[in-house]
Amino acid sequence: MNHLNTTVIRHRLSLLGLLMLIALLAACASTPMAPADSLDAARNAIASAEQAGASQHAAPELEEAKARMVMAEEAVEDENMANADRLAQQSRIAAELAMAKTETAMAEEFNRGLGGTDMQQQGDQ
Amino acid sequence: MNTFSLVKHRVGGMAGPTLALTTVLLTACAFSPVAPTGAQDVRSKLTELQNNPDMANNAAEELRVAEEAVIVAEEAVGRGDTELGEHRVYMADNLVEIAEAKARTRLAEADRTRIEEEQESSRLAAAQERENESVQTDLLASSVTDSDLQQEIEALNAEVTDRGLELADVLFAFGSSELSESGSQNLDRLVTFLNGHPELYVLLEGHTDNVGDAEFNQGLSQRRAESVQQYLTDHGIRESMLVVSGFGLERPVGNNRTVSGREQNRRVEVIIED
Repeated sequence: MNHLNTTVIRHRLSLLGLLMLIALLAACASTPMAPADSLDAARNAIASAEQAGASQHAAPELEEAKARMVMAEEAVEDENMANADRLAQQSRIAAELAMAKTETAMAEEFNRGLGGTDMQQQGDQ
Repeated sequence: MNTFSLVKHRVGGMAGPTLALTTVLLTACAFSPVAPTGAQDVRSKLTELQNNPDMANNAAEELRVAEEAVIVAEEAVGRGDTELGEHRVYMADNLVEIAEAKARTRLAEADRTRIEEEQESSRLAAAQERENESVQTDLLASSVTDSDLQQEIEALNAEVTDRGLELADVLFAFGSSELSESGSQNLDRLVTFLNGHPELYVLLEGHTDNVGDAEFNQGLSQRRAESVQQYLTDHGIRESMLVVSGFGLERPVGNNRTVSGREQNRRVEVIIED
């Protein structure tokens, strides 16, 4: 009984030690984590804006978003993850602005079309 | 606090003034407030939007989010952290612009709804107008009919009285029940009119002047009325439409003491009833 208990405790201790060793090694060996969430969010925002027609209606904002994205990726390569995270956030917000401006432009353009139709109808009468 | 304890450990037994100086320097480095450049511009842009009711009402939530970001951007950052300040200003600026864009989109959408409603109501108004016009056309058609009737009545030389439609009296020569030419002409017009209105009735009432006795005049008035009736039936008018009666000398319309008065009294009154 006594012998058995001692064996179990020894096993647990060695397991704990192993885990600690892995943790230490991981901490030492790994480069900082890339800001994947921020980068993904930015990429998605850029894709959405492009799909909505931002290259046509909000080209400067879309270009801005893409430029920040390139900078964020460069920062990741430089392993400057804090900067990469910020640049990714900036890219996302710029893409969101491109999206918002695209929606505005399209809504206002649609109204101008409506106004034109209205004028034509009045002209016919 | 950590900084202090680290310093203490490292400094160990060194003199107090050195410790104090180091602490002050470190503190200065870490906390010296620097207002992020651009934060003020973003704030004034935000304030402008907030003061514009069109913007404030159409992007309330976006402006609230933007304001939070502006407040963060306005926070002082350490000298070594200007990038953080720039980042916050950049984020805030974009959020303010997004709020503006969203508000403008919603304004445009509201405009669109208004334009569409206006177009719809003008379409409805146009349809209503067309309907009114067609109603008017109907009325016009009926008034055309009325004016036709009016013309027919005028052609008959008839007058609308409380008894109905009264023709000019058919006049007769003294003691005669024979139709004169002018009387026949009037009756020709009546025939034309009655052919167009088979639903009507015609009262033929004979009268005389007061020359001769009443009994003779009664007979004469009856014959005058029958003479008119004969003419009408000869010209295709159904007898059932005609009601013949003689009133003798009882109902003069002119003064029997004068020639022209007696002339007026030698007559058949033609009254059209419906």
